[in-house]
Amino acid sequence: MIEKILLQGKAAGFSTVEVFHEKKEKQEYEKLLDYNASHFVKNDNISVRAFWEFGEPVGFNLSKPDIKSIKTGFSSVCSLNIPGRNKNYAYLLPSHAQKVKINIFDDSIKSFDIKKFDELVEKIKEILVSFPGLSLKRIKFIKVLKKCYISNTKGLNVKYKKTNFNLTINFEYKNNSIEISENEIYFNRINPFRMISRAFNLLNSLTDNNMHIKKDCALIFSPEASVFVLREFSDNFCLSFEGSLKKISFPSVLSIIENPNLDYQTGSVPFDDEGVQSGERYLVNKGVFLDRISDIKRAFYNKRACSTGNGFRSDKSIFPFPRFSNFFIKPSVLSLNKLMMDAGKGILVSLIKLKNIENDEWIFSAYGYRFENGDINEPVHFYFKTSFFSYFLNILKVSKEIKFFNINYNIGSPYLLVNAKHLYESVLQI
Amino acid sequence: MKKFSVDLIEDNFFHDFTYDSYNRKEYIFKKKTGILKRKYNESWLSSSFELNSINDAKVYISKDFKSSSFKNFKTNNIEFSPGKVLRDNEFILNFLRSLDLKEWKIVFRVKALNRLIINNKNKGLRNGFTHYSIIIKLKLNNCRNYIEIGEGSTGSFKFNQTGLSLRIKDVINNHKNKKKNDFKDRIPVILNSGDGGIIFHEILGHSLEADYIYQKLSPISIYDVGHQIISKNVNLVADYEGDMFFSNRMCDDEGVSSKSSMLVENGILRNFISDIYYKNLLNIKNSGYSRVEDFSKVPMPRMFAIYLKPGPYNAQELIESTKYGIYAKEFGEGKTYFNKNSFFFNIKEAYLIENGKLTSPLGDVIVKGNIMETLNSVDMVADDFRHDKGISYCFKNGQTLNVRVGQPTVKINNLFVKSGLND
Repeated sequence: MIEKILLQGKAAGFSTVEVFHEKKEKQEYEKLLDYNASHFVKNDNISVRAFWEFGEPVGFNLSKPDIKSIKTGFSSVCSLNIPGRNKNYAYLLPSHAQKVKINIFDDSIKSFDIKKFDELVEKIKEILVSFPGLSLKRIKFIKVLKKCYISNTKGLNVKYKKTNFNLTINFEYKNNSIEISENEIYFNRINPFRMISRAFNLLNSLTDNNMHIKKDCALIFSPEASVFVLREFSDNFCLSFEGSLKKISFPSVLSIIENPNLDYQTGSVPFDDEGVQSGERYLVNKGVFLDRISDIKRAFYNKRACSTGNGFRSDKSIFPFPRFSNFFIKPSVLSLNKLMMDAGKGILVSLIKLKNIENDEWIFSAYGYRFENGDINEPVHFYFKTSFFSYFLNILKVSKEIKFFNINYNIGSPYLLVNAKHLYESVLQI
Repeated sequence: MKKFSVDLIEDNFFHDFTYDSYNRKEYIFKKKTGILKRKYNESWLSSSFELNSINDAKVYISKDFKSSSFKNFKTNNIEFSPGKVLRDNEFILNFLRSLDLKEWKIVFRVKALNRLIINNKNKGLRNGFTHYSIIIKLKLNNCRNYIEIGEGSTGSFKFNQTGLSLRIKDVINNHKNKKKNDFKDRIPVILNSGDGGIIFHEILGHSLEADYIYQKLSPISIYDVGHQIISKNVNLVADYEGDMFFSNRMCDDEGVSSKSSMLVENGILRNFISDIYYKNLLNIKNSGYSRVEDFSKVPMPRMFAIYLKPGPYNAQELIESTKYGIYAKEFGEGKTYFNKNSFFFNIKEAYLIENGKLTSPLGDVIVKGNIMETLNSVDMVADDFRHDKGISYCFKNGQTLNVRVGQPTVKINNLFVKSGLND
């Protein structure tokens, strides 16, 4: 079928044609109060991007198309007569891809059914007994089997399949609620006990008592808290973002990596949605800024040699745009305990919420626990102000324990020891 | 709830054409066909399949519905010509070219949705919705983010280009000449008629959705029916008769027809926004407000159109009665946090009011407040009711839908105001 589409595109007068075929089977199970639901979705659609010799490409997306509807698709975009006069980026499309073996498929997906979901719910309820006061509001489980095929008229013809399991649980504790989610390639890597402990820890840190801070303070960001801030600043590592990073040197303990080839990680793919392959890429290496992620289009318009293999399509877009795969701060060899001992006393930040952005300054509301000499004490709430540069410049140490979280893309961080200055009342400046 | 089953067969088209200040043109179109089958028998069981054509739905349609009016369900594609669209909108394009901007983009979109909905009780009701929109994204020389100005219509690609150019001019002047103000205390905010209704959609409309009521997320409860819950100046109605925006809709996405309904009358709670499932759980009167973005998702209680009814004042009286406050003219995105009983809204064009007069431009600002306190602080409602500009959207649980809002000029006391993202 894909070959026929490429031929149709050529016959319609396009110089280069790219086909992205995605087949997806998604099964959702949900329990919420009296509400029990199961929802199965079967998607089968094809996105076509077609280039004339000059000008921007045109594209179309059709559900389960046959060759007749593909013909209609090409004739629709062909009749528009909108080619421009400028050189386009079709020449940057890849012509081949090498075989890469990454563990991103769990065979057990076929045998997962409602019975297994019920067992999972039972298990969660059983674990909850050990956490008095913590109550369950909603459980949602999603399994996804995805198959992608990418071809173009330059000779590329590649495919891969991938699984994904997501468990989301909503908890309530002392009038506070929280949603905890885990995404895994392999079902057996989802750990309900870890999720419940995380929820209990986070909900316990949600205190209304603003901490009265008197002086500068050491902060240790948990992976979850660090990831929240990293995500806020991640646009700076995307080529579509304006501004120069090259003049800045970060602390030498900081290395930031983008790597689509990690086993068992949910952001992993053998190539992106344009068929471009990539490997481990240091965006920041020992404090030196090196690179930004890009798709083919942004690489072309920013006059860089080639894409970094980060062109991905969303459910709503036909053309790819830059997105991370597995994006993370590189862990060190230091333990969390070593970070706490080195800091002496400070705050272990467990949860962060964005309050506002004013004049390039981000204001976060933070929850965590006081610590001293390695002991964790009472929960505290405070605010901190920071900016992209100032945040990374104040990282003092990085731990070895890395955790990943997947929201749109997979993002990870170890614990970070960060220097914070006291501004006023319960507000710190990083 | 008794057994219930419903099939939704859908054919949708989407065309998107972007033209920018670098003379780049990008065009895409999508055509999707599929079926969503849902059954309730103590629990919900649903499945969705992408199809090549409407005819293929015959294989999937439930046995009980074979005799439905399915065979008469035909859909029409929408003709779209980027060349014609550019020619027809030359006035606004020339206007944009004449401005001193960092960059601009203009996006023309048309979305057509054809649905056939069959349930236990009907033999097949048809819904049609076609939406044309123009979105202009401007980046000013001193700003980081795009400012968006848009207009939508369910009729054709004809927009009020003069009106759009005036709005663009006003927003640019407002941002270029803005004066920074620190608002320490809560102040009155006057919402422009028309699009300002999106705030009532967000903070009151969603609070009346039956799923949020049942899950006790909403600050309003089932026991509030018949009681004064908010300012007596608020009269909120769903699906105001006479508006053509959703006129090709026979029913909601469960096949249930709804009539215009009073939700809040003089501050007294009268009704909720519900689908069949929550109607039964909450034992309330009306349903007919089940909506889904497309056939691959699960429907939930959602608004179509909600309007704040006009009051007795002249709009000018609202400004004159304000000693110190802001006037919100163009509206951006907002969010409601039920768990914190709070919300925020981005105002894209705001002016300072001092001693009953509009004085300095403020650029974009963010207004924030407590949901119930805000609804109790609706102080004055004017008589100049207008619909929105046809480009209001609602986002809930990962699904984005076109909605309709409308209101007259409204004065709300006691809102927090902060500088916006472009400062």
